Parts: sequence; C-alpha cells; structure tokens
Amino acid sequence: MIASIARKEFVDAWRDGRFRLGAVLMALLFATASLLAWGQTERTRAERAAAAALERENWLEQGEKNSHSAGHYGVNVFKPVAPLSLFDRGIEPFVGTTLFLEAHRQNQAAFVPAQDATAMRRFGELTAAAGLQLLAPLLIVLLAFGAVAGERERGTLRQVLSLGVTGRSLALGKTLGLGLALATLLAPLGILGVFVLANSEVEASYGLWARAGGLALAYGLYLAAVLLGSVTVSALAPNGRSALAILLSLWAAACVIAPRLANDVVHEKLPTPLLAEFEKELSTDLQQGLDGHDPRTKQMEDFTQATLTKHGVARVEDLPFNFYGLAMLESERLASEVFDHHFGKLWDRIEEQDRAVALGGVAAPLLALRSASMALAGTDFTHHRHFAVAAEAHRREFVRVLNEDLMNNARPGDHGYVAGRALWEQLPEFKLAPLSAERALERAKLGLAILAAWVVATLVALVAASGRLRVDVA
Amino acid sequence: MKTLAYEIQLLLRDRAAWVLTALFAFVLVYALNQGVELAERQRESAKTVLDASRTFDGQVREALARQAIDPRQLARQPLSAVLPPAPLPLLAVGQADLTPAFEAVSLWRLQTPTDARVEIENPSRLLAGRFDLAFVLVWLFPLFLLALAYDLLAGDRESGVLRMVLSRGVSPRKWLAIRALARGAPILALALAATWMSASWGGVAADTSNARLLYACGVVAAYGVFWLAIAALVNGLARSAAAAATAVGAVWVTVVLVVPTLLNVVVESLHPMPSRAELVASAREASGDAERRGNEVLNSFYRDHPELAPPGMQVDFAQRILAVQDEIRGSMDPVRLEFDSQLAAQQELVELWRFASPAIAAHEALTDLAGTGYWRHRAFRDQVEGFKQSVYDFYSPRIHKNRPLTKSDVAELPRFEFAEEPVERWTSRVTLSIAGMLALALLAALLAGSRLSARKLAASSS
Amino acid sequence: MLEALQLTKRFQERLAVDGLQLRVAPGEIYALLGPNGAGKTTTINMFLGFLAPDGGEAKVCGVSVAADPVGARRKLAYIPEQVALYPRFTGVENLDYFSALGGKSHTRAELYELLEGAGLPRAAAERRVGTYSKGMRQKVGIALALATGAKALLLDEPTSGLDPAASHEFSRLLRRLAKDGVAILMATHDLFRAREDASHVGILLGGKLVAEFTKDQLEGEDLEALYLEKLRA
Repeated sequence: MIASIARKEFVDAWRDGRFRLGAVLMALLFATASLLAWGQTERTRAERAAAAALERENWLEQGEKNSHSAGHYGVNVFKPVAPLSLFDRGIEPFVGTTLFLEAHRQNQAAFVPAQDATAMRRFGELTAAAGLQLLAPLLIVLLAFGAVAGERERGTLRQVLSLGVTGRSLALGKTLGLGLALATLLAPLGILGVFVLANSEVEASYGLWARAGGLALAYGLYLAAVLLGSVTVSALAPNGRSALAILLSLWAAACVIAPRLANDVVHEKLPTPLLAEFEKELSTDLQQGLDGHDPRTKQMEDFTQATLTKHGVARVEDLPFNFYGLAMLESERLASEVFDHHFGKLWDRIEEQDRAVALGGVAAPLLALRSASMALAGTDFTHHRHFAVAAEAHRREFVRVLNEDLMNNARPGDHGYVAGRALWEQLPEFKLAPLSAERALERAKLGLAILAAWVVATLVALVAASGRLRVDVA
Repeated sequence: MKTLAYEIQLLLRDRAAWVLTALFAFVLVYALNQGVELAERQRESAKTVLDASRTFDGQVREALARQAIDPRQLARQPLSAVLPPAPLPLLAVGQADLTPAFEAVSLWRLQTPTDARVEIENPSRLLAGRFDLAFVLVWLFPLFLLALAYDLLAGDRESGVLRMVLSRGVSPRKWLAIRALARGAPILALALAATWMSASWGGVAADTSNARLLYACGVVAAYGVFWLAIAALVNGLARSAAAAATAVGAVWVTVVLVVPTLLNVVVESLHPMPSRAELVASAREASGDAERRGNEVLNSFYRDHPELAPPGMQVDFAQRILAVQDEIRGSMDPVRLEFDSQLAAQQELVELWRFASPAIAAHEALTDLAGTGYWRHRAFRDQVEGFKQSVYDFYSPRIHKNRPLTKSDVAELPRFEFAEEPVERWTSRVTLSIAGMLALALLAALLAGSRLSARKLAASSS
Repeated sequence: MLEALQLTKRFQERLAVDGLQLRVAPGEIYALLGPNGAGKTTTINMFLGFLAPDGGEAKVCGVSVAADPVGARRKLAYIPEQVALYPRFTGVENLDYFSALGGKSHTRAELYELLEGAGLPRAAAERRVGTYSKGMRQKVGIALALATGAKALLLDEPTSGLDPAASHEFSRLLRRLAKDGVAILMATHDLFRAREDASHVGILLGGKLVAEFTKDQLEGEDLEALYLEKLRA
C-alpha cells in the first residue's frame, strides 16, 4: 500500500512542471557553484603553496646572522586549504590565512580574505552547501505543501480514504515518494561530488570519506526533517494556501532570521573580549606574570641567580655556555604560559559560542546543520584553531632551536656570533597534519544529534497528525 | 476613493495584517537596537585613537618649540590614520565589522604589508552577518510586503469574486493599484520611519546632514515600490492564491538570495584577488634582496637622488633603511596596486550588475549612504596611501641630509585628516540606484497593466 | 448491503441526522432525496467513516463502520459529485492507482476493459485527466467501483451537472452494477433519475426519513408532487 502511494507520488512529482523547473535550476546552480568553487580552491591552494615555497627560500637565503636575529626575522606560514571547502567554505573567508612566526610573540592569523572583498559578501556565497541548506528546503516546501492539503482541496483525499487507506499510510507513502523524487534529483550531484573527491589529492589522515559520509548523513537528516515537517504541516493546515504560507514563514524564520539572531543573542550572553582589553591583559601578564605577583624582570633575576648557583660561578660570563641563549629560552617558556592562557581562553570562548549557536538548532535545524557541516568539511573554528595551535607549536620549536644554537655555539660575551644556512636548514618546513576525522565527527556530534532528534520529532508529529486527518476543507 | 476606504477597512479587519505589521515594527526596533552597540564601540575606539594621536601631535609641537629633534628619533613613533565614525552607522553595518578603521603608519615599516587590526569577533558571526537595519530592509521588508500583498487578485479570481467585481465596470488596473498601495502602506511607512530614525536612535548621534537620510528613504521607498509592482505583476498572471504565493516567493528567492550570491561568486572568479600569501612572501623576498645588495642599493639611490646624499657619504642605519625601502617600494608597488585595481574591478562589476537584482542596488546604496560600504573605505585607503607618501616625503630628505627638526618644521609635520567624499559623488551613485529600481518597478507595473484588461482577467478566471 | 441503525449525528445544537433507519439490500438502488442540509451527505460521510455518529450505527455488509472503518471501506466504493482524480495521471493510471489503494491489482488489459465497460474508450483512457469532462470522470469512478468489486456503492449527487446523454449512460451502468448484486445508496436531487433507476426512494428532511417508497409504490404517481408535499408537511 505504502509502496504504491510512494510510487504514485514519485511519478506525480516528476510530472509536475514546477518541480522539474526547480530541479533543473537547482542542478544548474549547483554545477555553477561547485565549478567556480573548485576553480577558486585550486587557485588558492596553488597560491599558498607557491607562497610557502618562496617563504622557505626567503628563510634559507636570509644570509648569515645571529641566530636570535633570525628568530626576529621570523617566518610566515600559510593556512592550507581544506579539501572539502569547495563544498562548504564555512568561516574560511573570515579568518586569517597567514601567520607570522617570530621570537617572543604569538601572533594571530592575518589577512582575512573577506577584507579584500566588496560589501556584496554580506549576501553570502553560493556554495553547494548553501544550496542544500537554503534552496533545497524551498524546493521541498514547494513539493510537499499540497501533499495532503492539496488532496483535501481537490477531493481526492475523500476518495483515497474511502478505499480503506489509512491516513497514516497515505502520509508515510507520500513522504517516501517525495523523498525518492528528491533523492533522484540529488543523487547525480552526489555522484559528481564523489567523483571529484575521488580524483583530488588529499592526505589520508584527513579522513575524506568519513567526513564525506558524515556530511551525507547530516544533509540527509536535515532534508528528511524538512520533508517530514512539510508533510505534517500539509496534513494539519486547512488548505494548500495556508500550508504554503505557514511553511514559507517557517522557512524565512529558520533560514533567514535564525542565523543572525542566534549569533547576536549568543554574543550578548557569552561576549568575546574587546581587542583593546585582550591586548592590555596580555601585555600586563607578559610583564607581571600570570599570577600578577612576580614581575617578569624579577622572575628572570631569580632564574639568573639560580643558574649561577647551580653552576657554582659568580658571573654569567663564567658559565660554560652563552647565558643569553638560555635566558631567551626561559623567557620564551614563561611567555608561552601567558600566551596559552590568554589565547586558550579566547578560543575556548569562541568555541563555546559556536556550540551555543549549534544548540539553537533545537529551534532552527539549519543552525545544527551548519555547525555539523562546517565541522565535517573542516572549515569551522575548531579546524582554524588546530592550525593556529600547530603553527604556535612550530614557532616554539623554531625559536627553541635558534636559542639553543645561541646558547651552545656562541661564546659567552661574543656579540659578533652569526649562524648560517646550515642552521636554517635544520629547521623543518611547516606542515599541518590535518585534524583527524574523529575529532571532526566529535565536533559535529552535537549538530548531528539535534538533526536526528528533529527527524524523530517530525516523524512522530507526522504520524500523529495523519492519524486524525480532516477529510474536508474547513 | 470609496474603493480605497473599503480596502483599508478590509485590511483593518484582517488579523494577519495586524500581526504582520506589529511583527515588522518589532523587528525594526530590534535591528536598530542591535546596531547601537557596534556603533558606540566604533565611535569610542576611533575617539581613543584620535585623542592619543592629537595628544602626541601636541607634545611634538611643544617639544619642537623648545628644542631641535633628531628626525630618526621622532620617526620611531608610529602615526595614526583614523577613519572617523560612519555618518549613519545604524543604517547598515556593511563592511564596518571587517575592515579596519585605523592604521598605524610607521616610517620604518612603510613597505611592510601590514595586517589590518579589527575588533575580535567570532568568524561565524561575521559569516552569518548582523541583524542590522539594512538586513531588515533588504531581506525582510520585501517578505513582509509580499505577505500582505501577494494576494491582490489571485484569491478573488479563484473564488469568482473577481468576475463579480469586474461585472460592475471597475477598472482592474486602478483597482489593483489602489489595493497594492493600501496593502503596502503600513509596512512601507514603518520602514521609512525606521530609516529616518536611524540617525538618532539610541543616542547614537549621527554626524550627518538630512540629505543622506532623505536619500536613504528614497532608496527604501523605491525598493518597496519595486516589490509592490512585482506583487501586481504576479497577480496579473497567477490563477490561484497558492500559485501567486509560490511565484512571489520564487521571485524573492531569486532576487535576494540567488542572484546576489551568484554574482558574488562570479565577480570573485572574474576578478580574483591576488594572493595575500604571495604578497607577504614576495615583500620579504624583495626586502631580503634589497638588504643583501645594501651598498649597491644605497649607491644607486644616491646616484638617482644626489640632492639627498649626506655630507661625506657617511651613511648610517636609518639612511640605509630608507634607501632600501625605496628600492622595495619600486618592486612592491605594482603588486600592491593590483589588489586595489582588482577590488575596484570587482566593485565596478557589482555597480554594473546591481540592477540585475534590486536587492543588490538597495544594499549597495544603503551601505554607501551609511558610510560603511566600499566607497568610503576606498577613500580611506587611498588617503592612507597618500599619508604614507607624505610621511616618507617629510622624513626622507631630513634624515638623508642629517637635518634636525626645528620649529620651522612644525607646519609641515605630517598629520592625517580624513576628508569625506564630496557630496555629489555619492548622490550621483545613489540617485542612479534609485532610478534603476524605479525603472524596474515601472517595467513590472507596465507588464502587470498589460495583463490586466478586464477581458483577459474574466476569461482566465473561470 | 448497507444498513443505518438509529444513526444520529449532531452538529453543536443541530441534529443533522436523527435516528435514521435505513437498509439497502444487494441489488437495490436506494435514492435518498431531500433539500440542501437535510443530512444526505452527512449520512454518506457516516457510512464512509469520515464522521463518527453520535448515536446508532452504520454497517457495510455487516461490518460496523465505527468499529472497523478501514474494513468497512474495503467493502464499498464511493463516487462523489465530482470524481476527483490526479490531473497529471491518465485515466488508466488513476484507475490503476486507486484500485491498488483498494487492495486490488489488475493488468493493464483488465484496466482498459474496465474503463471500456464504464464507457471510456481506450484513446480517452490514455489521456491525462486534466482534460476530462465531468462525465468522463464519473466513468472512471464507475470503473473504479467495478475494479474494486465492491459490494456496496455510495453515490453523492452523481448526475448533477451531467448532460442528459451522459446521465443516461451513467444510470445504465448503475443498473448493471445493481444487477450484479451491488447495494447502491445514492443521494440526489435528480427526481427524474431517482424515479427511473431507483428500486427504493427515501425522502430525508431535517435528518429524519419522512417517507419511503418502493418502485412499485411510485407506479403512476407524480414523484415531484409527493416530494414537495412531504417538504411542506
């Protein structure tokens, strides 16, 4: 019974000129968006690779200089492009792409692409993800608003029920049929996506297929919830016109208003610090120490004294190594604690905000989907933080090697010491190991759970609503 | 006149209309309030920087009045270039939460690509965009208008009332126009009121003339009229209320969602920005190169600028840096200019295509009027570049010639003052936007009118 | 067999159907007459289980509608005033779909045969029903009744708006179904058809059956006069 209803609904949907038109337009948009995104991703990837190579050369060719000066000369590292960013660019346009690693300081990633864009950016980007998030639900609404309400208006509902079909099997069969119609529309796009991914170079640890599978699951749940919800509204609404009005209002509220509103509200409840405050606290703690009791100068004096005592000498010049190298190491260690504390706090807050917005998915499923989608595509803040943390680890290692060189190779009191290419070559190039798929799934879990709850809730609602179908138009 | 009175009465009896109007008013107030925080913060930080730089400027002048100062020493202090707060910050956030309104200009780092320092913000929030007035006006305002006006005729056609009305000899065009205006009036009035109040809402005293506000109202009115004309057109074509709702929904999605995002991608693909990553790396390459060839660079510099050569060619650190910088600038300028020219090309394309979607035209015009869009920021960037040049021009001869700064130099001390764009520049851009939207509205209205002969309507409504 | 036993339905204060006692045996055609609002459609809705009665019981072939609505519906066929069909499907596809919903599957050839039996030629059956006239739709409705092999048929003003030829064709089909042993209940305003086709005629007024005639009793009587007289009483 359900099978024949589903089959009929499937055929009916494909015979509907509006659906076919919508499908063709969607497919065209998807193709255009994906093609352009692919071109852009490839270009960015090539540019960053070229820049990284050039920067490596700059580093190696910097000439002979004091190894600590080389620490000030520093090195730029560039954020790699996430392979799935061609599907969902997430926050990529709004975070820095370049990080300058130098002695003494932890910098923030600089050069936000959106700064080099027109105000048009505010309209958002047409990506495959945006299409599925915003436009596919509209297509579903168009397809499903009349599912039950339309039959009621046409009078076919009376006839169908008079044949001994239960409202429940009618509603479920219809949902199934419409779902299949939608699936046949999306399947070619999915296959295209798989084909493109299979042909792109991706590091194994990125977990491409696990991520792609997670994305398929997230979008599947989202669209299923939208479909179930739409059919439910269609079953409850007195007529097709009200069903459409209700569904379009819900769409506007959940897809247009909710993202902005949720971010504003969360920002109010969990504010990020002002830049001036953040920098002031950071520099205070760098000078005063985290606990605020021991100024940095005092700590360094104590350290000097302890070192002298340990080696049983009276003057730093008498130490068997270059003390300034050691002092620099110690000062980096102390600063690292402060950086870890402050940046950790800031980043925790941002992740907390993101989680809170995802939790808003309970009211507007799009928010849960966005969170899961960006996490799985590798374009959310957690992935950005992963880059920043890895770069910082690289910086510390890089500064450590340089300072140890100064400590061990420069004679005490020798201000003319210089190191050369041999040392520069010892320092490895920055390579970002991608965040594992497990971590990404971990981040996406909340969103996925909310979406799954939506599917269950809409299914229950549909079953309940179709159990007591009104036969006639009110 | 009687028709209008009845139409208004109908509207007053429609509970949905009341709810929608109240909801729209609420949304407008919310958006205005949301803007206050950001506007205040930006005003405050601009003031802090401006005050600090004025104090510093005063101190320098005072010190110079007493004694001569080595220009190398003074050049160590970076100078601030500040963009004053936008004239109508509550109208549109635009790029204000992304683009820096402040730049520290330091003689020693003139050629280093500097990162723009902006407020700390969760990137997801930047991605979502803000709930500002422009969002409500460009995205939601048409939705509310259409919700009230999508069913001007279609429902009556479906129910057969239309045939009855037409049989009384009513002119369908006039009837539709009156209906559209009556239905749109409350929403339109609220939108205009909010636009007007954006100048003084929440104590954010806007630093502007009424001209900007008038133009902003013009933009909002033209945009609203466009959507009412779309509603009329759809009603001339659709046979049922559901079909009309679907059609206006489809137009909204196309105009507000699809065309702008598509244009975005196209613009960025046609005029891709050069890579910042490469800019950074090549700037370092250029400076490394120039430094390695230090003496050679220096010699050729003084060959080209013999008037700057220090007495006895005794070159110090500062002079060396300046000469090297000059060399770097030569190789970096074309790269940097490419950023500006590509962005300008993108903007040009947007300007050209803004009429493909009145949403773009309206958004561009509103950010332009607010002073948070491309143009004001472009003016700021250009002026900062000019300022950098004047810093260089001021210090370079004095450092090369080892001439200390004295009282007589006070008048020439470089100082950044932002000059707003001349009024006729933005008025011409915005006028064009308004005219374009009205032209599109007229086109839709004419098309609607051609569909609205009584004969056609009656024939299609059975 | 269709039975109404003290069937009662109340809408707020108003009694729409008031203790209706009615029986349509196999092979009978029962025409239910009555002015608008007399309770004809309400009665049919209670037989269909679309309305729950406030008292009494409706039975279809012995199955209580209230106790087992789906089981009861399986035994009947229903043709409304305007047979509602899916416009993007052809006549034969509509028939196939509806009979599948009724739990019957037929080959294409059988379906065409059923439609032809209902007076719809094959060429017409292959067209989408968006283009069908009202008479053609009624024929699909009859074919559906034939296809499901229903033992009871409910008709709600089936001939209103049909031209005389289509109306004649329709009643020929009805009589054939009755001859095959189907119990037919037909709510109608069409006194002429009621007189021609019905084996029994009942007049419903204010939810009450105020008069019942067999075909024999109507022999030589003026049904219209009887009807108007009952209305005035």
